[in-house]
Amino acid sequence: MKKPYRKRYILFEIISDSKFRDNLIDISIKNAVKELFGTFGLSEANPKLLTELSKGNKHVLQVDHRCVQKVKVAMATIKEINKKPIIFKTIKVYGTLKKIKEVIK
Amino acid sequence: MFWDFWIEEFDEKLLQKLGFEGACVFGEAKGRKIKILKGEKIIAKNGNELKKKTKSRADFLMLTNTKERLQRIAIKRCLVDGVHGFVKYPLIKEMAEKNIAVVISFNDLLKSKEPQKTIAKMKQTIKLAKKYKTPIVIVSGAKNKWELRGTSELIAFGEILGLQRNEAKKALYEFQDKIAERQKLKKEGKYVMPGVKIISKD
Repeated sequence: MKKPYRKRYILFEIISDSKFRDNLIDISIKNAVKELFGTFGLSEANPKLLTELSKGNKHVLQVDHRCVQKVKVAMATIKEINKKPIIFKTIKVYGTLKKIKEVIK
Repeated sequence: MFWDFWIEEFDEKLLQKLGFEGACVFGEAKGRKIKILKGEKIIAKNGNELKKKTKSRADFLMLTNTKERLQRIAIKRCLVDGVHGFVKYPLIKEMAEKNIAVVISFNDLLKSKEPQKTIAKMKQTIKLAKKYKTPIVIVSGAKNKWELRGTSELIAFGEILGLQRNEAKKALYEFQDKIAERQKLKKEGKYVMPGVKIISKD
């Protein structure tokens, strides 16, 4: 039987001239999801930045499997962090932590 | 091969990084690794101005007026290749017959003061376009390089608006490839008119 809530891991890259702290990125993603899909959408997607897997400009975001597209669009609506222009680029979506750890290494 | 069919500032490296292999630039551009088409936005106040402006030699002509009267003139006379904005019922059907695309820009969502209304109108347009099989083109509509978005994001945007995954992917290459092919034929002197091309001169 399939689990009703399955996780997906979005590996994304931040294209910008400056670097940002993980908590800033996490907050801006959550704000973007909330702004576009509301509190209900945010609770459904439940995005969570896995800070232990961050490496340089590359980060991993854990989301619900039904909301991957929504979160991608929400991330794309983020224009700037700390008034510095930014582009979020999704690299790939993975289904397991094991696989994403292999890729990051 | 994915195209971004509406960008105003060209950055070859960034476009490649974002997964594009071609772009339609509404401005000046020089690139070696990416296919470039020249686009032109058409904004007109009346029918006469519209006709004058559509005589341009750009590869891709896009009407950005939201006035229904001007949209009707452009579509009925086949003056443009794409219409940006929200197109209503009888026109969208005619667009399908004349192979004119609906252009959905991600930048509209970025710049919108009322994103809920923008998304609703986009959804409505896409629903009609799907029903009448009108070509759909999803673009980033970037005015500068920081407004560019990746292929994956634009596909997700299409899915959010009601397209299936394969349809959203097609919105990034299908119509664009046809325009590129048409331009190639024009350069070789083999293009006559829509549906007519010279195969051999013997």
